[in-house]
Amino acid sequence: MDTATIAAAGTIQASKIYGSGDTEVRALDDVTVSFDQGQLTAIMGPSGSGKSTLMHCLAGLDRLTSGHVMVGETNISQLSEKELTLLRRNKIGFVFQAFNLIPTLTAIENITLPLDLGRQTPNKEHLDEVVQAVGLADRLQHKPNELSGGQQQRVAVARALASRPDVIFADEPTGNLDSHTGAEILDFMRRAVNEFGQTIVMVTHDAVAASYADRVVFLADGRIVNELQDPDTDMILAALRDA
Amino acid sequence: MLRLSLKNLAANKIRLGLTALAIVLGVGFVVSSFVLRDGLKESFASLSEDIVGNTDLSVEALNDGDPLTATDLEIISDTPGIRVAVGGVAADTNLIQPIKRDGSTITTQGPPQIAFSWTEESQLNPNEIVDGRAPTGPGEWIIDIGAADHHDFIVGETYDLITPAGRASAELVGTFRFGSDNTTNGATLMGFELETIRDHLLLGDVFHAISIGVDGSVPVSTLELTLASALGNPVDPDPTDDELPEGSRVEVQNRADLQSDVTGQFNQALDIFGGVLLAFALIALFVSIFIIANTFAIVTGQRVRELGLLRAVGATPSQIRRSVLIESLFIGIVASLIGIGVGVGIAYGMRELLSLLGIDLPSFGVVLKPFTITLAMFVGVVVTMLSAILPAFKASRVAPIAAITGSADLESESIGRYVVGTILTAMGIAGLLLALFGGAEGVTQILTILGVGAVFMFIGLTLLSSLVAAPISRFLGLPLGPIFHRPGTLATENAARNPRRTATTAAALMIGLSLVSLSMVLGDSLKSEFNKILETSVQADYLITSDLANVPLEVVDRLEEDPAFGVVTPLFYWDATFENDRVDAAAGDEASYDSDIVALEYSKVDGLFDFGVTEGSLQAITNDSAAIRDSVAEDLGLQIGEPINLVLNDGTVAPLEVVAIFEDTALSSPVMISYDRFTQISDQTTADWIAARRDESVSAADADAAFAALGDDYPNLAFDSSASFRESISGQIDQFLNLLTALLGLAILIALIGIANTLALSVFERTREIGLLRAIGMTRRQTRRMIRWEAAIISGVGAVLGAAVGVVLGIILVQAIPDEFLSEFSIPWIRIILMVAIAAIAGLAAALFPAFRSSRMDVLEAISHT
Repeated sequence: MDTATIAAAGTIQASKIYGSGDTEVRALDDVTVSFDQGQLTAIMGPSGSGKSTLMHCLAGLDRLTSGHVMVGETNISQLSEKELTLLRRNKIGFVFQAFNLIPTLTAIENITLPLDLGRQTPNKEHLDEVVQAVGLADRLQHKPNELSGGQQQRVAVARALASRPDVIFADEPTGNLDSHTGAEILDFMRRAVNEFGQTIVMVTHDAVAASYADRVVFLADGRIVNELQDPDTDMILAALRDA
Repeated sequence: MLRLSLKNLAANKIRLGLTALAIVLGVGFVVSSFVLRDGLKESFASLSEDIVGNTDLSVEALNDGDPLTATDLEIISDTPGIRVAVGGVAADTNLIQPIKRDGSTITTQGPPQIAFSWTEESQLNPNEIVDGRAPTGPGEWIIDIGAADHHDFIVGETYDLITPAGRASAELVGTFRFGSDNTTNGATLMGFELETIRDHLLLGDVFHAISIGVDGSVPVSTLELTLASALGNPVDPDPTDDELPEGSRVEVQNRADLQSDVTGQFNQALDIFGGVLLAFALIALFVSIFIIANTFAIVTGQRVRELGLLRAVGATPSQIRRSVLIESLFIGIVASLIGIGVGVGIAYGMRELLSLLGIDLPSFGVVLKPFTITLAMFVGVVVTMLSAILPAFKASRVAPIAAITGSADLESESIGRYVVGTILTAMGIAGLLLALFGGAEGVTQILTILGVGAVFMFIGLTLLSSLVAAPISRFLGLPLGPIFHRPGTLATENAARNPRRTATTAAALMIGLSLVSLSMVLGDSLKSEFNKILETSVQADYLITSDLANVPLEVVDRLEEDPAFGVVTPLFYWDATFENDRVDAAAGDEASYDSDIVALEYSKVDGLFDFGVTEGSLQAITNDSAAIRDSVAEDLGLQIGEPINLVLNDGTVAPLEVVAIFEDTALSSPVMISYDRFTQISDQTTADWIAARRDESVSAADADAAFAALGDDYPNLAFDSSASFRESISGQIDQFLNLLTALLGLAILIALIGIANTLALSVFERTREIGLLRAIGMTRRQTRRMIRWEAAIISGVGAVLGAAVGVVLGIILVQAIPDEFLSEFSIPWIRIILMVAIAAIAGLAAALFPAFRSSRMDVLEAISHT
């Protein structure tokens, strides 16, 4: 695929250092990585490997100590707080592990929330497609507390898709779900990549979840130590053992 | 558990601070009212000593006794043991007013202006000449150095004075100091030579009091008795009690009596003032209780998870309760102590506030009585602990696992709440109706029932108001969607999502604003009442009135001399006593009753006033007849031609034949008598007001000009056309409303702080939600807007409920006031809507800090917040 060669997001020599002197911790140590358009990439690694820090920095939620983060054509390291916020609104989608939805808004209002915040009119056709894909057409007027955990995560993914961002970051999106519901969400994300050409970067520690990805990047001690293309669960488990 | 409680307190500084703030303010306002009153009392006590000075004995004629004359002075001077006796005259407050260099008079709404006869006898004069000399005859006066300085009076210059005898010119020949350091508390003191001030006051050869210095040869206590009998008092059967024997003519007082007399007069005024302040402080406290209780409910709710963990590791429910209560005890004690300090500050701030509103209070020292401190601690600690008990019980009952998973909700709705709310509201309203329409006797009893009823009603309404909090929030938030889009609707939904919290937070504002709108309704009704009266009863073109001073009769003469004015009459009011000729003992009628009377020149009534005469004619009133109001006629069963008995000064009774019956309840008193009769029962030498009509032959513009020119000569009087008079009455009512609103402003301020408090706690509670919003693209500005407008909606809910309650209470109150005082009813809708709008804007401002905090949250930390 031609498009696979174009980066949707990435870092150049990214370092993130907490503390100083003896207490210095290098959460990211000179990481250069890029995430191709239209791919589902999983980032794996043990606790403290820096995978969450990498994702937060990529998503403009945290700032690097040194190096650069690119989202599309934009070098976000130089953006102001306000520009970062607008970038998150327009170019980035989020799916968190839990508490993804605003309890006072209905499912459909949650889905269109980033668009509403920017006073953009949702593209009706695209929104219909997303809603169709999410399979919750009959629950759109429900509040989050009337939805199951799996349904809530599907709404969260739909919200991330609705604004057609350059890249969606998913932080352990199935961490709070049972394996069956988790599989549904992963299927849905997979379809989003396949059917809409969406770029998704997902942090996970679950080899089964990572096996849905086109590519898996392994982190340890703030460095990229390995990566796999089109992996299956066994390959991932083997790589984790080796790391 | 104690250590845990203390650790908890230290760990949550912001929550602690916000809880304490509500208590500090509530306690502070209560303390301030006592500090203000006690401080003023002390300052007046030392003033009393200065006023009495070194006078050993003082003699005054009793109200219904013959006045003191030169003969009496001679009798006293000749009594063995008396060194010196001086007769003096003093003008009632503001009866003599000097005109300043700029042509204006000193306001009568501030400290009093007091004029008296000057004596050179230093023992009997607490004042001392500082500059120039004492006044020795007509055309001379002196003033205290403080007033001279403040109002720019210069020794050697000539000023005009307005006196009951008219406008007079006098040279300021000196200044004097009162007491040791001229602490007049802002009053203006003026000294005149005796004959001069008698002339100014239209007095004959009488003294208001005779001051005495003794030579020490006879005990003062013996002299008291000797003088009393020498001046015509019967023998006192029991000289040790304070009662004067029946039929006494004079009262003889020693120095201690005089001081306590003066102090007593000040204290009486202060107790009323202090009572009013305390009433407002209690309203403020009542409002703070809502804030404190609400804060504890929210804070304990937020700690449910932590308390559940304690339960899970083995803490018993009673240990949990104790932990929460010990925390509240500590908060209560510390906050009350701070509140006492803040209260002292508020007392001084209140003095400044009142002076901005035109009420000058004397300076005073910090007086913190043990009672004040005890009350403050009691109020602060008890209120805090009571506020904590209910949430503590709820928290201790939560199942540990529900608490840990965060699924427990301490603020859930329950039917019981509405049942209790309905019962309390009904009881409260019943109390109000009982106080207003029932047979409650005495002001204290009525006020007590009224107060308790109001407390019940407000608590009940607060419980019930969570039923309507969400719909009202959504209604008020309607415009926010179109204006601010998603942040606007989020603000609305946030205000509506926890109706109970919104209701309790708004309740504090509801209470303050319901009292404001109640007074607005009352004020507006009074205005329309006055307008109606002035339209129907007054045809006079011009009215001359005076605020706390009186109108010299000279003004009547000058109006009559002026061809521009056709008909002129002064009006006089006085308290008189009547004997009831138709005593019906079985019905419990009093043998005598007090009533206001009015006197004027009835030949000139036509064209000036319409008293609504139904029978007879006012022109028929002579020295031996009277007109009575129809309600009086009905009560006493009196008809035209029958007598009503007026009690004269000497105790004799003059039967007056009823010659007219009238309806008017506004201008006139229940009884109207002739001017000649009036002078027999009253020593009043000035009119209460004057009405005049333009002469038909003169153009309105010319008459207006003549009237205005005359007004320039009497800057202390209000010269009004009937239209401007109407406006000035509206203005006075508005001024009173402003004062009320300013005092209620304390309660409103606390309510706004409560809104800020709730918002800060809500923001804390919704940290993760706000983090999520920020992550998916809500800007800081949108975040601030969302929080601020939530606060505005909560304020709006409080204001809408307050306006509704206030209007209903206003309707009830206006109904309760007898028609002869207030028969009109009017609701100032525009003002009330304005009040709601201002409350919403104040809510916006109250949320500035929580809004700022919410927008500055670290997004990453917020998202991972547990």
